[in-house]
Amino acid sequence: MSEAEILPGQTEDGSLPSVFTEEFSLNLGPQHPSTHGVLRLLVRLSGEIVVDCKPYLGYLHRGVEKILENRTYMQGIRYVDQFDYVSGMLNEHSYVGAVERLMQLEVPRRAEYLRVVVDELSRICSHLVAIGTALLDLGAWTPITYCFRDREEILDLFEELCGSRLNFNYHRVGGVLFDLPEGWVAKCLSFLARFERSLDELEEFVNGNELFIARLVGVGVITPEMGIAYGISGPSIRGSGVNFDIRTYRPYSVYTELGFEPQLATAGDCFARYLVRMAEMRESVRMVRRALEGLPEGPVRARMPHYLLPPKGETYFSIESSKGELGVYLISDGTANPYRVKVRPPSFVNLQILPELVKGQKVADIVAILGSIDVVMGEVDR
Amino acid sequence: MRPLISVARRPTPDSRLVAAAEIVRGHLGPRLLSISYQAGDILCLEVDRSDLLATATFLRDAPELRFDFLSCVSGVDMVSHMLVVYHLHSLSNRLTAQLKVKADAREPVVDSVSAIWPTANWHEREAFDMLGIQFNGHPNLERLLLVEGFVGYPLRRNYQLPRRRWPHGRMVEEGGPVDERS
Amino acid sequence: MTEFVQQVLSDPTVQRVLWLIVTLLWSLLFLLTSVLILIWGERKVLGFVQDRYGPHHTGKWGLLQSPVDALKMMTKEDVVPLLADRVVFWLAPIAFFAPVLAAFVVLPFSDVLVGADLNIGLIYPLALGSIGVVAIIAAGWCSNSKYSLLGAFRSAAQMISYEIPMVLSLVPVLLLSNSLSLQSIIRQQEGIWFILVLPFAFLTFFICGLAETNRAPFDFPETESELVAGFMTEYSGMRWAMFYLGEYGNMIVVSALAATLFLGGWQGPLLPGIVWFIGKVYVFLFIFLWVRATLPRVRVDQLMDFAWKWLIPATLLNIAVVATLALVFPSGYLIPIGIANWLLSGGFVWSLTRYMQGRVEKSKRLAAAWAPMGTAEVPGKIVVAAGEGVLARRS
Repeated sequence: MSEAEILPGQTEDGSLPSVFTEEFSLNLGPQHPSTHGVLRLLVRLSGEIVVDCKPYLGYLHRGVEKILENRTYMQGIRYVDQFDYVSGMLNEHSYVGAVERLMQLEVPRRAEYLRVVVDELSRICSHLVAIGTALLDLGAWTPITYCFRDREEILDLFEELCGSRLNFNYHRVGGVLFDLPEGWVAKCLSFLARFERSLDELEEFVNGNELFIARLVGVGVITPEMGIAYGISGPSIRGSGVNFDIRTYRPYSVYTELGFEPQLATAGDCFARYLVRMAEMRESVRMVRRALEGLPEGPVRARMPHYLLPPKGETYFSIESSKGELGVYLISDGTANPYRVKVRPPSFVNLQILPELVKGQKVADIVAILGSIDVVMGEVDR
Repeated sequence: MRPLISVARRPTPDSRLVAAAEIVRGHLGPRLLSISYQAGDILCLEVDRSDLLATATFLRDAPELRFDFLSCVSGVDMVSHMLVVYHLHSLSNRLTAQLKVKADAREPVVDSVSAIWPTANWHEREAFDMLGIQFNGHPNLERLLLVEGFVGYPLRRNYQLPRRRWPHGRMVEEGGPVDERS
Repeated sequence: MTEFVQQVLSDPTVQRVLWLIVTLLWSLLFLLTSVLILIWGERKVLGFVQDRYGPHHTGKWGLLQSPVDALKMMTKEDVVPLLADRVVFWLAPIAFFAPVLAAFVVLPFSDVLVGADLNIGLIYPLALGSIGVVAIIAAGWCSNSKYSLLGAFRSAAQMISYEIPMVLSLVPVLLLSNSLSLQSIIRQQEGIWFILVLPFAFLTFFICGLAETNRAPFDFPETESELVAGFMTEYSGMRWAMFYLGEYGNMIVVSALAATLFLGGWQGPLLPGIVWFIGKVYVFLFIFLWVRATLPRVRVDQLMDFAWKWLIPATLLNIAVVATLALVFPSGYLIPIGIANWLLSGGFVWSLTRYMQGRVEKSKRLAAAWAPMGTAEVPGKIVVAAGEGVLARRS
């Protein structure tokens, strides 16, 4: 063997084949139109086929868990908003729910109903963003504007309710902050009627379109065993037929009273996850309607001391966020600040399956799969 | 005026959870350091570090338990020792369990469960990143959220955030540990 | 003095040169004006489809947007990447734009207003389209960036694949018109426009035209969401504007060809020919924009699949059918050809839909192997069992 450099594809006797190929690395992100935030993917490609994909996280890491240890419980609520910033209400619910579980506190029934209303509206917001951006990544310029148009109406409702469009700071330990303003219920119900027609329009646009089917069906299939082994939750695993929804698995708030039903699909591919999100939006509309129609009278917040001092102890509380199981593991040492807040973000756990799913697929499928797993980097990095 | 807080009594654990507790107690025997029910619906176990892998495999594979869904792996710095807490779901039996393992405060080393539940991979990387807990047998234990080359473990209780005027007028320029427990 | 000028002007060579300059001027005028209108029009059309206004601050109805954009392009700093091949970097945009402009010489704006009525008029613009591929590969290579290279290769593969069905789809037109010269093709359409007789040829030609001009749904080489801007990534300012001009120019050439070959060119009652021609070109340009607003992108292997396995056999079949019918009915072949073509169009669309449904059936079969898992006591509503109702439209 000569000491000359061996070129790729060179055989032992030194001759080169007429055509040889080389793998190369491509960097997707962190600044990239379709990585849903600041995510860096180092992709090794052999032509168009992905050989390996390595995600690099942490570009949006703000150290929120450490911050929360240095704030009181009420001060901490506004930080929790910023995890999954497209659906703020759900994050808040998980945090205050954990504190209430630790204190074994009973929340007034009106507050529980209001929580369901805002949580489900937030879930609709989040799914609209997920679907809109996923379709934008596939090259459809129009559905995202329709989705955001509907989201604007929900954000207007929220602005009327709590004064803010993105960081709501609405949930409190023991209830919610404000009661509904005059005429809010009527506005919300009329929005829901319009929204159902918008959903029909979106379905008609996407479901029958052969191009979407060609891009999404059979792509990024998550089998139930793989999903459970990787801890996938939310629409990503319900799209594979696994009936795992925290609202029925470990019911919290008043979902059982309102007759909630999880939505499932069985194909496990990107299209199935899209269908699950559409169905979940319809179910959320139903939940909001039922909650508003059956809204009980009463206070919206349990009266409690200004400085909240939960007893010493620990608790784990999880809710069904729009992306999956959002869990909070809370340890309190009896002081006004929590001792440790560990957040289990669904996007963080769901993102872990991405390298497995894209191996052997084409480059174009990376964005399709990432869009269907629905990742928000605020939650992944905290 | 009487406050409106109504504090419910600690609810009693339901029968399936009690049955599961019996199975665990029967299998582990003296290796089970403590067992309790958190708010009546989570089965809390504590074992020693050396029994972690065996317990985890048993919890995943025992047919009456089948805790196949690892939800969360948390690291906690309890100054005198480190804690690693695992939260598990059993989807087919509708049970939730919490498994605690104690580790050394200065150089915490725990076995990695990523061979048992693949999802533990990134959870353990994050625990290493934030608290410096070493996981034996982890495929690639590198920093996940913080930048490569970051020195220190921020979520430890002795880690000071940089450039703050801390009590007693001490101005800290760089973040870092304030005692020898690095 | 006047005698000298007259003598010079009567020289045929001088006349030809003068006519060339006139053609060049009106082509440039038409091209640049159309591009300005298209820039504004694209943003407005896309905006209205997406339930928003599009530009409306810059001038009334945003009409000043195009001149402002052009001004911005011209005043931008000329950035050349450090490791780029400077000569090729300079040449590539020119090589992309030049064939587009050269194709204008055969376009018949009216019955007299045509640069040169070449007797190979139909082949000429199609041949020029192939030069564009070289320019794209050159642009991608010399930018010395992985994104550009990937985009260039994809674009080249796409354009080469779609040139074949494009040419093949025009052969039936040739069979009907017996001439390659564009003016004579238009004259042949005095009785009936070819789009009514050969709708399938039009359909395939338009689809290939979308692919040749890198427009959605075939805009893979410049997918914003994956490769930033493909082969144009490293170009900015006036160089990028040349690529942009070339792309819109390509669109105009394809639209003009479609108008000429299928819609009767400058023919039409009452208004002068040039008005009809420009109107028909703009109809097709509007369809280009409309398709972009509506359809998502095809994946690159599906794109190639579609060209080689669907379009080429379909266009070959079309040629065979048209030729056979022309032989069988030597005198009244228009009606049978028309019927056959309409049937072919319907059949093509139907079989494509069936193929897509087949994918859904396949995924349904794969999914049937799994049983729903999870908490057995809580019933979950199965929304869609992998494919039912996927292609059903809401009533």
